[in-house]
Amino acid sequence: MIRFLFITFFGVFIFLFFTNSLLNAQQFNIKNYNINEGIAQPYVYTIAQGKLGRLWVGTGDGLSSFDGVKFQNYSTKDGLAENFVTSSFRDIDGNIWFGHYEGGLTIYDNNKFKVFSKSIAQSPISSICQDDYKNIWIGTKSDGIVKINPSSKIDHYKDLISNTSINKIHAYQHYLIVATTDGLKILENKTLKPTIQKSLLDYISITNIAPLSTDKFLIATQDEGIFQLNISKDSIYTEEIYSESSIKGLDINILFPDFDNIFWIGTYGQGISKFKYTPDQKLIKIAQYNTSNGLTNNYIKSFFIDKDGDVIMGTFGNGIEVLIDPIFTLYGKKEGLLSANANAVTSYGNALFIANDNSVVKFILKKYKLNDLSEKSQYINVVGGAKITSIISIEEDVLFIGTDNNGIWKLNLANGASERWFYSPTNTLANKINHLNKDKKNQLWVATEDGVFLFNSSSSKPINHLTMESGLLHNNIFSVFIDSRNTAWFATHGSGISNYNNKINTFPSPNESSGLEINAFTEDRKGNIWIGTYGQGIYKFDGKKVVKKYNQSNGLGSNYCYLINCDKNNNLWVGHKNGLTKCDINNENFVFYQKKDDFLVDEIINNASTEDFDGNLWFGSSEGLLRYNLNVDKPKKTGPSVIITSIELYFQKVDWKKYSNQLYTLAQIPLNLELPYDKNHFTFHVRGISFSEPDKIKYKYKLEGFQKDWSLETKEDFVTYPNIPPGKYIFKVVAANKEGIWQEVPMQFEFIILNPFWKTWWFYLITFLFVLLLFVLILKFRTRALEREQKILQEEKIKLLAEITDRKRAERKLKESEDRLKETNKELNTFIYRASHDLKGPLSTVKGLTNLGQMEIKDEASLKYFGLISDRINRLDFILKDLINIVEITEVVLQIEAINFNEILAEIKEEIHKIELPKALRLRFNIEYKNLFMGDKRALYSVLLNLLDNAVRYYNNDKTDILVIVDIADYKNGVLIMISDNGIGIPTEIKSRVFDMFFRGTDQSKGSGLGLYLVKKIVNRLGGKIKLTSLPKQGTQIELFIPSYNESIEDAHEKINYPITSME
Amino acid sequence: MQKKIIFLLVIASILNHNLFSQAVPSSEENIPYLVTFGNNSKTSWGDDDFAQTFFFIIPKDMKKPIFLRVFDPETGGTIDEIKELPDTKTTISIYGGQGAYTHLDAQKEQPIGNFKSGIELAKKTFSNQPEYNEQWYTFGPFNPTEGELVNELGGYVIKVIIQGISGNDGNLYKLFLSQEQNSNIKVEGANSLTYEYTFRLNDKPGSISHIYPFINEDVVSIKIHTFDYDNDGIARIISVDKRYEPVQVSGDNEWMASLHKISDKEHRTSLDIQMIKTNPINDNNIVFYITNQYDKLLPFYTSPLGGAPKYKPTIGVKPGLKSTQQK
Repeated sequence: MIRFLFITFFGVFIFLFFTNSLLNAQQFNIKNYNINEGIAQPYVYTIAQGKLGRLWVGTGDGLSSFDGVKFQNYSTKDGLAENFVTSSFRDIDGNIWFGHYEGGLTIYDNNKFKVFSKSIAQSPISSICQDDYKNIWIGTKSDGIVKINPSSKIDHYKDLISNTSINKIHAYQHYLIVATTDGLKILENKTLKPTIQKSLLDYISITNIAPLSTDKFLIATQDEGIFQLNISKDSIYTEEIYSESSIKGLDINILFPDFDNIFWIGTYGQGISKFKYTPDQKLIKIAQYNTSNGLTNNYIKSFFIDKDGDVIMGTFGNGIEVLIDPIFTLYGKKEGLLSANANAVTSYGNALFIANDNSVVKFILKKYKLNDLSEKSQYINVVGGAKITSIISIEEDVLFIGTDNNGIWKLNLANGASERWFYSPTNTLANKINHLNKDKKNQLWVATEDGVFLFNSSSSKPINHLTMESGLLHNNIFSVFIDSRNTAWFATHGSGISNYNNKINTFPSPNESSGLEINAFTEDRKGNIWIGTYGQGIYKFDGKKVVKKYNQSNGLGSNYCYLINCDKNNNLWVGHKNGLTKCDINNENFVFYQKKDDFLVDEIINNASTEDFDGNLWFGSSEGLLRYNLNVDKPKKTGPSVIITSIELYFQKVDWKKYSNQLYTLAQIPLNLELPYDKNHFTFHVRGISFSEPDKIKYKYKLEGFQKDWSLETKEDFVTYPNIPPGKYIFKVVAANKEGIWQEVPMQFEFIILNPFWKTWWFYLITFLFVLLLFVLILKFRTRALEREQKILQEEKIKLLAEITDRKRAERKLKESEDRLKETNKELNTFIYRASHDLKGPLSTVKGLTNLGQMEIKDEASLKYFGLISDRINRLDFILKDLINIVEITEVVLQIEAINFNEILAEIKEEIHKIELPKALRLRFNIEYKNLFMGDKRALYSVLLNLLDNAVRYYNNDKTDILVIVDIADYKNGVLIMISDNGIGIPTEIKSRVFDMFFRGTDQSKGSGLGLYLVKKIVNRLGGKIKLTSLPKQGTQIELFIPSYNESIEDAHEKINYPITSME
Repeated sequence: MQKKIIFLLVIASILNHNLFSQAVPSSEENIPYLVTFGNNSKTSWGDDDFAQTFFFIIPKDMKKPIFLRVFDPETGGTIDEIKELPDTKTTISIYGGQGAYTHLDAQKEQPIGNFKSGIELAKKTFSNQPEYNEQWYTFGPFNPTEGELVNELGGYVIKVIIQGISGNDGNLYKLFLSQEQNSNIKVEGANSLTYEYTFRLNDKPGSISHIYPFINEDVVSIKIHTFDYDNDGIARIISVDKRYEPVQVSGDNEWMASLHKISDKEHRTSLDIQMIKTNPINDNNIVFYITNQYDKLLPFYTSPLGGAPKYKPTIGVKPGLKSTQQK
C-alpha cells in the first residue's frame, strides 16, 4: 500500500542548467526616437534635463528639445554658438550650459539661448561641472581647463593638464576630479589657480566618474575596468572594484548612478548593463541591454535618468532610446513552466516553486539578477492526478503540496519522489485542501473544507484539528495566514474574523447585516492586519476592530479580492479576477493594473502569491507566473512637470510678438500679456512630461479669475476658455502620472484682458472732464445768456417801469376818473333818490287831488282826462318807486336775515292779486328749499315781485290755462328759483335787451321799463345769476340763483355753470 | 580663380561619379601592405620618418556612422617585419574637425609641426598583441560630421596617422573605411588619399604595383621622389599622354627625384606609376611622394580619380592609304 502510495513514477524531472543566459521573458520596452521622429541628428553626444522637465539632446548637427512627444530643434540661428553640441550641464540656478565641438559655449536660461563664447577653447568641450562656489569648470579635449566664475570672469588653464584629453570633470568640495586619457587628476582649487593635488591611475585612460556616496566615486576606464576613488581629509586613493562580469578590457564610456546603489555601465559597442554595487564592494550585473534584446544600437554615447526615473540613452547613429523597464515580468512555458496555469506559488531561500496543474517547477533565483531563471527543475504529475491548490516549503528539499481532493502530498526535491502524506479515507472534506502555510515553529497549517489542521512537519498525524466545534466560525476555511506574532488567521465566508494563538479568538464582523466574506489576510510593515474579501473590498484590522475600509470607490480595482500581500515598501497588493491593485496605504493612492491598460494578465489565482528573498512579489495567474519587480518600481515622489506648448486665440495660432516683446523662446509664450477685450477666446495646449508613458498623463485645469475650482481630471492636453470678460487671470495646470501622483506646484500663466476703451479709467476721466467742461461751457453760456436776458429784462424793466409809470399815471387818472365817476354816480344816485323821494310827495298830492277831482267831477271828458292823468301819475309813481329801489339796491347796505320763502311769496301773492288778473290764471308755488337761507328780504321781495308781475301780466289769451309756476329749491349753498309761465313769450329780437334800463317790450306795457333792470341789479348785488329762456307764444322761464349770504360772492359765481349774462 | 573653380568642379564630379574603394592599399594598387616602423628603426629598412598619414573623404550626404578598420594593427605577428624582439609600439590616431586636413602641416610629407592638427577622435596604441595579429581592429563609430568639411574634396575628411612611437620593428597593416563595424562594407562615394606613401612591394618578381597621383591644371612638371627603392625593379609612368615613361628610382637608403614634364592632356587626370618588380628582394619597403614644379606635394588617391589612365596615341594611321613618297 505504501509502495502504491509512494509514487513509482518519478515522472520526468529535468534538471536544466544554463550558464549565464538571460531569458527573453518579456524583458523591457524600448521607445526609439530617430530622425523620423524629429530629432536633429541621430548622433547623440549629450543629454540634460531642463528646469521645466524637457530633455535637451545635443547632437552633431543641432540641439533638440524633447517633451516626451515632440522634438523641437535649435541651431546657430536660434542663438547657439555652434550646431555641434558635445556636452551639457545644468547648474544650480537651473541654467543649462552647452559645450560645442570647436570650443564654443552656449548658455540657456530657460527662456533663450545666449552665446557665452564662440571659442572659449580651441578644442571640443567634453565636460562641464559646477563647484560649491558656483564656479563653472569646463574640461576640453585638448585645450586644458577653463574656469568661469560667478561674475563670468574666464580663466583658462591650458598647461595645467597638457598633452592629454579630458573626458570628464567633476567638482567635489574644493576638489576637481578630472578624468583624462592619461590618468585621474585630482586638482585642488582652493587657491586662485588650481593645482594638481594628486595624480592617480597614470597611463590609464579614464573615461567617466560617478558619485557613489558622499566621499566615494566610481571611476570608469577604457580598458582597465572600474575603480573606486576615496577622498577624505587625510587621504585620496583608488582601489579596484571587482566585477563578476568581465568588464576589464572593455571601453567603458557610460557610468551613471541610479537609485539603490545601482549603476548603469556602458561599454562602447556592446550596449549597456545594469550593475548592483553590493555592500562588499562588488559590481554584480543584474541586467543587460543590447541589440540582441531590444536596443537598436549598441553604441551608447550618452546616458541620462530623468527626475521620474526614466532611462534615456543617446545612441551613436540611432537617436535616443527610452528604456521602459517593466515593473512586471510574465513567465510562461518558454521560461520553463509546464503550463500557463500557475495555480500556486511559494518560495524558500533562493528557490521559487510554482504549481502548474498537477506538477511543480522550481527556479533558483539569482540575487540582483531578476531575469536569470536559468537554473530550474520540473516535477511532473506529483500528486496522483489531482490538481494542486497550494504549496509550501518548510525545510530544504521538501515541498508540501495541497490538492483539491487528494489530501496533502510531500515532494522530495532532491530525488523528485513524491508521496501522499495526509489523506483521510473517511473524511473527504478534510482531503480538500484550500491552503497551506507554515508558522515560526515550522508547523504546517492546513486550511480545508473541514476546518484547520495543524501538523508537525515530521508527522502526518495532525496535532490539532480546529472546527466549529472547537470554536471556529465556519468549517470551510479558504486560507490561513500567519502573522509576525505567530498568530494564525482563518479566512472564512459569511462570518466574522477569527484567529488562533493558543486559543481561538473571534471578532465581530464590521457588517451588522451580513458577515465578512474573507478570502485572505496579510500583515503590513506596521503590524496591521489586512483582510481581502469576496465582494466587500479590503479592511484594516488593528487587532481589536476594523478601522478602515477600502473598496472600488476608493480606487480598488474590484471589491472581489482573491489574495492580498504586502511588499517591502509597505504597499498592499490585491489580486482580482481582472487584474491587480497596488495600494499605497500611506497616501491612500491606488493603481489598478488591468489588461485593457496593457497589464500582462487578467486573472490572479486565489492566494497564489509569495515574496522572494530579494523582495520581489510573485503572483500565480491563469496566463503564467507574474513577478512584480520591486527594485525597478522607483518610488515617484512628485508628479510630472507640465509645460504650456502653445496658446491659441479662437483656435488659431498667433504670432505673439504682436502682443508682447518678451517671449519664452521655446513655445514662444508671451510674458506680461495684455490683450484687448475682443481677444478673449483662449485655447491652452499643454504637455505633461513623461518619457516612458506620455499617453498616461492626466491633467487638471483652472483659470483663476474665471472659475473657482479645478476642472475634473482629464487626459485631454488642451483646454479652451471662450468669452473671457476683461480682468486679470492666471491660468494654472497640474499633471499626474499613471500612479495618480499629482504635481504639487502648478504651471501657471498670467494675462490680462483689457477693458474696452469705454470702460477704462482714462475714458471715465475724459468723459468726466468732458462733462465737466460741457457743464462749465453750458454754465458760462447760460450765464451769458442770462446776463443778456437780464440786460434785456433790465431794459424792459426800465421800459416797463416807464410803462408802468405811464400806466400808473393812467391808472391814477383812471382812478381819478373812476372816483370822479363814482362820485358823480353817487351824486346822481343821490339826486335820483332824493329827487324821486322828494317827487313822490308832491306826486302823491297830485294823485290825491286827481282822485278827488275824479270823485267830484262829473264831466265825462274831464273824467277821461283825469283818468289819463291818474294813469300817468301812477306810472310816474312806479318809475319813482323803481328808481328809488334801484338806488337803494345799489347804495343801501343789505340787511341779511333768515328768509322764509313762504312768507315772501304769500306777500307777493297778495300784491299780485291787486292786479287785474284773468280768471284762468293759476299761480303755483313749489317750495322745496330745506336749508337755512340768509339774504336781504327786501331785495328778494323786489326780485320775485317784479318777475311774477311780468309773468302774470304777459299772459297768452289763447291759452285756456294760464300758468305761472314758481319753484324754489336748494342748489349748491344757495337757492334756485324758477319762474315759469306759458305766456306770450319774448320775441327773439328783443330778448337781449329785456334787462336794459327803461326797456319796455311794447308801448302798451304799463311798467316803467325798470323792473327787469332792477331784478338784474339786485341779483348782481346779491352775487347771483339769472338766466332767461323764452319762446314766443310758448312762454318764458326765468332761472335765477342766489347764494346764501355765507358764501362770498366770487365763490358763488364759480359754482354756477352758466355765465352771468347768458340767455337763451 | 577660374581654373580653381573648374578644378573643383572636376574633382567634385569625378568623386560623385565614381565608386571608390576605401581599402588602403586598394585592389587597383596591388600593394600588399602599408608599413610603418618603430621610431628606433633604421631608415634603410624603408621608412624615412616612421609615420604615415591618410585622409579619408566621406561624402556630405553620408548620414550613417562610419568605421575605420585596421588590419593587423599590432606589431609582432606573422606579417610584420620583426627585428630581434617585437618591441614596437604603434599609435593609430584619428582626427577630425577644423584643420584636420586643411592645416598646412597635415599635408606635408614629414610628420612635423602640427601634423596632428584637428580634433582627436580616437587613439590607440598597439604593441605586440597576438589577438590583433591578422585581424581587423575597428575604430568608431564616427559621426561623418566629426570630420573636417572640405568642400574642395566634396565631403568630410578624417585623418588617420599611424606612428611608430617606440621599437624598431616594421608594422605592416591595411586600412578600410567601412559602414559596418565587423565587416568591410565600403562607404559609397568615399575615397582616400595620402601625400607620402610608405608601403611594402610584392615579393614576387614580375608583379606590378601601382600608385595614382592626380595631376591638376597647375602642374607643368612633376618630380617623383622615391626612397630606399633598392633598385628593386623598374618604375614607369603611364598616362593619357605617356606610354611607359621611365622613372628613375632610388637605391638603398637614399632618395631619388625623377623629373617629368606634364602635358596639357594629362591635366585633370591620374598618372599610373607602375612598379615592376624584377629582383627577388623580399620585404622591400619604399617611400614615394610627388611634387610639382612649385615643390608642392601632389596627392595619391588609392583609387585613381577618373580611373586608371590609358595611353591615347596621338598618331593615327588609316589602313589602305599609300604615301605618294613611296612611289
